[in-house]
Amino acid sequence: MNETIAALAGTGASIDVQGISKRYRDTTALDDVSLHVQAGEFITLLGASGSGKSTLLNIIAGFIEPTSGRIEVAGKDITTVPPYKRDLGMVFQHYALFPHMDVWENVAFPLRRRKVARAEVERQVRQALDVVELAHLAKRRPSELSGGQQQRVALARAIVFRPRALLMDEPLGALDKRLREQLQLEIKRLHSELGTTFVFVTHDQEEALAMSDRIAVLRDGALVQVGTPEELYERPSSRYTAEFFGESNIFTGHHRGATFVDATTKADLAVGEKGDCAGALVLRPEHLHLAAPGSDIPIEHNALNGVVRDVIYLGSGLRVEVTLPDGRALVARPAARGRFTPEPGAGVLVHWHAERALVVPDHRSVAP
Amino acid sequence: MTSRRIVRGLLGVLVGLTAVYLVAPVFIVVPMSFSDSLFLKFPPTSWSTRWFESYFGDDEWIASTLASLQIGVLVTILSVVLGTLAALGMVRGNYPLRGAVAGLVLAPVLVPYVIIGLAVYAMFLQVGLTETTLGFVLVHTALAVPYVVINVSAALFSFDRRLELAAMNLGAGPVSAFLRVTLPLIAPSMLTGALFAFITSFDEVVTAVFLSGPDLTTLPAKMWSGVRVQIDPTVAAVSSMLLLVTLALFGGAGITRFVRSRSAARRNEPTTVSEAP
Amino acid sequence: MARQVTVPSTRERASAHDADPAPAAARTPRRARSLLDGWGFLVVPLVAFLLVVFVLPLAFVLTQSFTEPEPGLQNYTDFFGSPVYLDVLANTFWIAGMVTVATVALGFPYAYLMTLAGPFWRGVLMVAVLVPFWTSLLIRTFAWVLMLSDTGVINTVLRDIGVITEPLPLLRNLTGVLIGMSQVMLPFAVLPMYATMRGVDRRLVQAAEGLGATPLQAFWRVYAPLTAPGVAAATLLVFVASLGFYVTPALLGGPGDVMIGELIAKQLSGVLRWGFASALAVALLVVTGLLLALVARFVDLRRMLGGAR
Repeated sequence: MNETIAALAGTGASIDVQGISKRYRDTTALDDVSLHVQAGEFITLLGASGSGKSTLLNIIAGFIEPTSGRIEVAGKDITTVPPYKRDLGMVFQHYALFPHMDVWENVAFPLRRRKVARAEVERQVRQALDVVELAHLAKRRPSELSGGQQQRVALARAIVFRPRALLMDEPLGALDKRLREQLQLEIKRLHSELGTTFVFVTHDQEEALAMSDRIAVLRDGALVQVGTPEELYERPSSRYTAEFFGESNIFTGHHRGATFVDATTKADLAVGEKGDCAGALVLRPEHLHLAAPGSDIPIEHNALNGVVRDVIYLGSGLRVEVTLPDGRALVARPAARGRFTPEPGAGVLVHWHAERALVVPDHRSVAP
Repeated sequence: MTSRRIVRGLLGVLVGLTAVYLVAPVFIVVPMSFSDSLFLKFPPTSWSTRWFESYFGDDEWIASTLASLQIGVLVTILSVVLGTLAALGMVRGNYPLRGAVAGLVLAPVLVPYVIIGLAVYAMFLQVGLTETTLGFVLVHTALAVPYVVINVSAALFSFDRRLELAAMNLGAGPVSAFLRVTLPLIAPSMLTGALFAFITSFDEVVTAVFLSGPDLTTLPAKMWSGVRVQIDPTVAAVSSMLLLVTLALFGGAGITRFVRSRSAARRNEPTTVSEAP
Repeated sequence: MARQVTVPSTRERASAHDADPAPAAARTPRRARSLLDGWGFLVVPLVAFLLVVFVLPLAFVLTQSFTEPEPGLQNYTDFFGSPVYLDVLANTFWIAGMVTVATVALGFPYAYLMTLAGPFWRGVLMVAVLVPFWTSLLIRTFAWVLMLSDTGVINTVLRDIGVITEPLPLLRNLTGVLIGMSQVMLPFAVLPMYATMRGVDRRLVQAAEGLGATPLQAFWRVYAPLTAPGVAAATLLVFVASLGFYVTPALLGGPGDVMIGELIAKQLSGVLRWGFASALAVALLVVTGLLLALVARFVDLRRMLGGAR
């Protein structure tokens, strides 16, 4: 099996997006987006609907012409190259398998267009189908396959001609949760063994975190932050990114020196880094600890008093909602069997290590 | 509850009778065509195949049949070409006066054939196109092409253009993508349109009566003169044969579709459902 | 009252094109899209063809109505000023009206039952409606001649079972025309009504009954109004088609049942009255056009004609 995949491996190409903009009559889908995709990396374009992520992918594929900017693949300018000459594999959300051809003919299609010899076509199609483990369904029509199988055929078809990069437009969006998670792993495996560049589009942040080498977050047509999953989660550069990934507790206020002044309570909270800007304090639920009111807490920790509002048992831990005196709510995720057992209605002390809190710039904050 | 059932029952009877009213009367031509009598009274007192022999032995009848077939084939080809091109343009193109164009394309179906016959006859007389194959082909194409346009544009409208994008992404140029992906998938509609085009031309009687003459007469025109003034029983024989062919054709098409959808259902395959054959 | 109600709503046809609107507009970038683009040119051949073969002759007829045998409104005054010809006009409307009433009255329960029936019977009923489309009009009308004549099927059967002693005059009169035309026009009534009824959610009727309406009330106040567009379309469609009909009334009707279509054809046998025939044609065309404009408001003609004759 490894030989099969190795035989299919192409060399991934780098993709350079330079200043791409796409404007329609009354909307701007993309505004001066620049991104460098390393050869062979798995990068995800992540964003809400309308963020421009699909538009960008389609521009890379050649289906949409940008209003301005350039696209380079492996150093060559392909901005004006038509899609059928770009040699990039594409997987669509609803697979776009040709209904009048069977699986085999679908996968053979790109090879035939490239005038590959018949014996070679046979060999390569079989290889591609082996990789996605669908060789036994070669004679079936797409309508006879399940969603997951159709997606695998679409994958096989996209990799059979060894493209320099594989573009995927929310390919798992139409599948149910379990199937989606299964295919996420398979795609990840495929990537590590093929070595091709993968550009993946999704709106699902968990999916992005699980699969990507790097993630590019898009919002309203602009690039917000690019980084590894860890960078984006632990060190978001803006409030938007912080809120996009996982749950977080956010205080608006002002970063002054080594403290953060909370706008609502005017309280001073120690933070790890120095800075000076209007911003937001980001606290991840898993960094919050709960203790009985009045307990001793370490000196590096900040603490707030509150009342437990809700406790949900998640199996792997608890999700606790705490109401602060000013009315705001905090979410904590302690272990299920900690030293302190929170009870709804009881008082609680919430504390965290000062360095665990993160300050991000936020234009919504106003200086006190 | 039982009153509802009674109503349903009466409804069923009424509808059943209506269905019989719709379908059954046409079949009367079959036994009548075997009647020996010149006067076609029911029931036939003696049987013979003389009217069939009359048809096959008569040069004029055969000639008119061949003329209708030839014209029908030419009309089918021309209307499929013009109609498919137009459907592509109408569904995918930009052009001014979209409503007017759609109206123009559909107009031949909606204007009474008598008017079209009169108009075309008047003009063709000026240019010498009456009683010519070309004249017939021109008129019948105009009458038939709307059916092609309607069928093909319906298929194009529901066609998923991302399949073309996928084809292009995989290396097919625009023309290749159209020929290999789009065309095969709209072919069934083109075929349906072609079938209706042929039938429209082959069965068309009104304009045929206007344009027919000693030099060229189509089968419907010949049948018309065999019914209008005095009944020529050969018409019964011709009718029977035409009926048989039509039903065989459509019956065959219907059965193949039925069988295909049944075997697909057995394999749990989703099938495409269309409104009419 | 647990009845399985499967309502095949046309709205259920889920759109598969929900993901990316942009690529579908792909290869023609906005700024380059002109008034008449590549694809748009493909309509030109057919448009040109129809202008020459269809519109031009009609325009010719229009001018003829004002110029033959001599310039002026002579043909129109002849037509509208003569009681004989106005009779024909009135007759045409009268017959068309009766055929419309008959076909809509028969077609409504037919279409309704089609929505209630299971797939097999619905298929059977549909085939019964479509078979007339496949068989030649002339053959169908000829069959009626055989059915309705004095020695035809109906009279012979009725005589044999003793209901009548003398043959009923069913041919060469209004009765024959009505019977024949109604059969021919019935599919034109059933199809648009069925198309509309398919889109009506029958659970609304159930809901009405659940709220206390009797079946009759539920039907009259909830279901029927929702089918109104289809009924209106059927009515206008059958009426318009009947107005211009030639073959069936000509073969089944008598001298007193001449409709305008036959009148037009008559002008060209014997003494050729081109101008007069043209004027008649124009009058019929104008009425047809006005009524069709009315139909277009109620139903998408294209959808209804797609696949049927």
